[in-house]
Amino acid sequence: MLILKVDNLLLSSLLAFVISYLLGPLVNYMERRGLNRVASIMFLFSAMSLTIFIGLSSLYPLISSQLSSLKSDLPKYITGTTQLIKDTEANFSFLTAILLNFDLSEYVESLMTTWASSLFEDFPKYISKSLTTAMLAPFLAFFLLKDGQRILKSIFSLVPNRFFELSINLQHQINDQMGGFIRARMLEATIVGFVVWAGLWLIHFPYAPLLATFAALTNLIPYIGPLIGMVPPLIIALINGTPFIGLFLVLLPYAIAQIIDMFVIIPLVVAKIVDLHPVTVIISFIIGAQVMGVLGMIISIPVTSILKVTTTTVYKHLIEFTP
Amino acid sequence: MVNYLWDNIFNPDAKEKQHVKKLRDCFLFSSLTTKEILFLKDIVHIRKFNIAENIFKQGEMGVALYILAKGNVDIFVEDIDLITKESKEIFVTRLKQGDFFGEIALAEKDNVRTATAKASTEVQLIGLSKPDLLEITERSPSMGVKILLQLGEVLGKRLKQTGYKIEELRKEMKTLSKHQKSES
Repeated sequence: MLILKVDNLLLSSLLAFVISYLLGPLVNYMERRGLNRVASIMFLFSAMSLTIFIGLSSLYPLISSQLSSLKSDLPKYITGTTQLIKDTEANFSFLTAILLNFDLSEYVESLMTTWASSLFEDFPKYISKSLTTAMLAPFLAFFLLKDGQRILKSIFSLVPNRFFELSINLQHQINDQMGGFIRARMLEATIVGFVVWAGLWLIHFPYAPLLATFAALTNLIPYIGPLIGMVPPLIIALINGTPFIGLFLVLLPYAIAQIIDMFVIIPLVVAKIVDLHPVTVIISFIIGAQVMGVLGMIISIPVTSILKVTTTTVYKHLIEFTP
Repeated sequence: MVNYLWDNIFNPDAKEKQHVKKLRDCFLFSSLTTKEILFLKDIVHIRKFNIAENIFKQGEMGVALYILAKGNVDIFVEDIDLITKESKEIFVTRLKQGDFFGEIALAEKDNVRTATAKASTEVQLIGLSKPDLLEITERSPSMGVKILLQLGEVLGKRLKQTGYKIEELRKEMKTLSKHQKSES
């Protein structure tokens, strides 16, 4: 599989699909209002680029000041985390002495120091990689939106007659499900991000925009994502010596975001789109994590639901209805 | 291979013009404007079938309507003997160039084909699937409505014809039963 080997191509293709699924309904809406399809796509891409440009240029001072203060504060947080682990180790020495015969705090400190220094040293490399993806993904998305129907038609023309209707039906169902799923996940991430940002901003917690973005992104990982999102603010609060009520206030927006997610968005939007048994979700999640890491965790559910739709549709076409 | 290259790369206009004409001649698309026909041409699928090849079989799931662009198609229904349970194909009709079939697939959810369609000559079909119709309705609702109205008219006519046939059969059965009674 070439797409898995070429650097950035898989991620760019996935992002292109996400962009095309997000913009597809808008392009169709503009086309319905009488605008040419290509003009609609160009207009939306220009509007999107302009919004990103204005957003980034207005947020640049904030982001750069947050990043530079994070860079200067990071050694403090690393020492603080090590101290925190040391204290916890001392409290549970009767357990750790049996289970762990190495110095956990020293191990964590060296690990975090390496990670923190590489984070800032490799920053230009990450930026150049992200830029390639940021350029390639919209480029692919543009053609997916413009020529998607034509590309599909060419693919269908290669399908043998026996499987023609089956493949059309299958593509339609997968497309429907993926479109709904991606839009629902993006809605989830946006709501989580906004709720966390508003909550942290209200209590004047440091790095609120960065932490909210991190929470929105990690929320895309099923089950453990929201927990991962809570770790950085928790560490910052503990190191800053925030009292118990402060810790509660820091975690409150995360809890509210998760409550909205669990009781409103998931039952009303996601569950209707992806009907998978929890055991299936967990197994696919573990397989995804083992095979492709974080990306595998994020795409495990859509890939499993595609497999489910494929199996049921093929079964219906070839077995259930054939005399 | 050479034919394919010639048809698709060196001489695409002639083929496309033919397909546009076929679409324009089809009753389902008779109320569409030239611009809408050209839009439709980019959406429909061209399929080729060999002699005796099944286009679809009775009992299969169906999602597409077909317009006969070239050749003839035979329609069969499967008749199962209630006593011996043996099934045999009964010829219903032969469709010729310009006819269309499988239109119920566009209107019904989880459509199951009620007959078998088989190519009796080399056949070229223009296929329009339900997802294609949804795409048309999504992108150009007025065009979708025009097609659906024509489809509704076709289905209505066929329903009326079926109603007349049932009425005729009922009358025949009545006459037969009267005849039997008078004989006995």
